[in-house]
Order: sequence, then C-alpha cells, then structure tokens
Amino acid sequence: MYQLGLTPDWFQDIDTLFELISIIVTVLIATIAYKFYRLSSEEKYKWFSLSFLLIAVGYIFKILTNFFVYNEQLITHTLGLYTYTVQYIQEYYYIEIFGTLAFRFFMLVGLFSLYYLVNKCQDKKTIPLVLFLILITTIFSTVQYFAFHLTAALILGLIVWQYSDICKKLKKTLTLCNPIVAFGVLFISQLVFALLFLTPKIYVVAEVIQLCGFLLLLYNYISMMWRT
Amino acid sequence: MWISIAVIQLYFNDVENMNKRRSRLDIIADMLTSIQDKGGKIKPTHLMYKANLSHNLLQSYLEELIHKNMVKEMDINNYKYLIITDKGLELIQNLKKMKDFQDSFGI
Repeated sequence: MYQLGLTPDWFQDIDTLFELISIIVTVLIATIAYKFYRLSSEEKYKWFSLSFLLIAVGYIFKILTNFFVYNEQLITHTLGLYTYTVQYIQEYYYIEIFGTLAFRFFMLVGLFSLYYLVNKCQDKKTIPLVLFLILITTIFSTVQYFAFHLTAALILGLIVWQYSDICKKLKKTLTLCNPIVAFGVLFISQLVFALLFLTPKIYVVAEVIQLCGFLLLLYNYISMMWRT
Repeated sequence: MWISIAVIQLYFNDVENMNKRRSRLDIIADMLTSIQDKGGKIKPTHLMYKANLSHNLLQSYLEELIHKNMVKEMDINNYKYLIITDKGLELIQNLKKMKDFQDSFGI
C-alpha cells in the first residue's frame, strides 16, 4: 500500500515553512558554488552547486505535494457530486505519488552526488549503478517509506565520516566543524524520520531536527561570507 | 627520538607543499595580492620576484590581467608601475571567499 508521511494537522503549514527555509539555504549554497565555478572553471564547484540544486528541487516537489495533500479535502467538499469527488481523489492520489517520488529521488541523487564529490571519487562507472539503486529505493519507498529515510541517513552518515577523515588529515578541525555538525544533525533527522511508524509526533521532532541541520548550513554559509 | 620523527615529518610535509604546482588562479591571486600588499602599485621587476614568476610567464599573465582591466600600467617619475584596479581588488576578495568556501565545505 502507498504510504505518505503522517503529518499532524496543526503542523501542516509549519512544515511547508520549514521546507521553504531548506530551499532558501540550498539555493544560496548552490548559487555561490556556481559563482565560484564561473570564476575558476573548476568542475568540483559545478557539481557541488548541482548537488544542492537537486536537493532544492526535491524540496520544491515536496512543497507542491504538501499543497495538494493539505488542500485535498477542501476541494472534494466543494464539488458535491459523488462521482466527481472520487475522480478528484484519484487525480490527487497520483499527484501525491508522483510528487513524493520526485522529492525522494532528487533528494537521494543530490545527497549521493554530494557524497561522490566530498569523497573525491574518480570511478564514473559506478554512477549508473548507484542511480539505478536510488531509483529502485525510491520506488520501494512507496511501500515502505523508511527505505528512503534509511538510504538518506546512510549517505549523510558517509558524508560525515568523510568530513571527519578530511579533518584528521588536514588538521583543520575548526573550519570543517560546522559542516560536520550540520550534516550530522541532518543524518540524525533522517533516522528519526524512519521511526515515524511509532507516532505521528515523531514527524514534528524529525522536521525540527532537519531544520536545525539546514540552519547550521546557513550559519556556515553566513560565517564564511562574513569572514571575507 | 619522537622529536626527530616529528621534525622529519614536518620536513616532508613542507617538501610536499613545495612540490605542489600553483594553478593559474593561484598565480593570478599571488600577483594581485603582491600588488595590493605594496599599497596598490608595484614595479614589474618587483612583481616578478614577489609572485615568483619567470619573465615570460609574468608577461603572459600581465597581458591577461591588463586586458581584463584588473591591472593597469602607468608611468610615474619615468618608472613603469603596475596599478591594481577596483576590478582586481574585487577579484582578490572573491578568490579569498572561494578559498574559504573550499575549506569550509572540504571540497
């Protein structure tokens, strides 16, 4: 059976606001990375920008899906005719599935491309395989939603691991501390999301933790701009 | 013994850093920063030493910088000086930001 996130009613617009903040943060980072790509023509900045842009696109799909999901009942109520109501629910059902799948796919591809970049992977032959596995995971997550959150947590965990390795190697613990904490918080949020089956309140906790992760990335961005 | 190992490690780290080739952007940054450090104007010969470049390399990079309005040539008291423009100063700022971004995100 298709499963969508269990959002408590009182939190329905607040989570959209949270998602909007996440989009602003990711677009800001993507824009500055693209600016550096234009300046230096170094490919790594282009891919870094694209990674964050993909995450932003994912969240745009999530917001659009939320908009349809949260307004679904209102629209069916105004129609009145039973046959039409059923038809609309069907249409929205497909929009929900498409939007959720698009959000999950873009989010996972964005995170993977970030991991690929941070890990300085050279082997391009693995990319189609990983993309295929991401696609399979995304489709499977419509049956068991936690497949998406666990995969996202795994990639985020690997990013944190790689960052801490870079820290040890370069002994630049202070400058890299912020992204480690930010991605670490995002990693925890995905693990909390995976526990959604316990109670819908978990969704609120996970969203708040996720917002903290993005705010830490924003702090990293602002402090970097402020320093120079 | 540990101290001597640490000294050897430091030495090899330095050698490793010395062997790293500067990128095109690193050289441009070094040139512009050298001019800025000298109060915004410098003689070409001084720039050659400060930026650690050969005469030919200096000429080719200078041509590019002058063409892009980052640096301009000026005669002061019959001496040729290179003067950094606002566009050049802006580039230094952006390059510093880029370096900081690279360090901050570990890419």
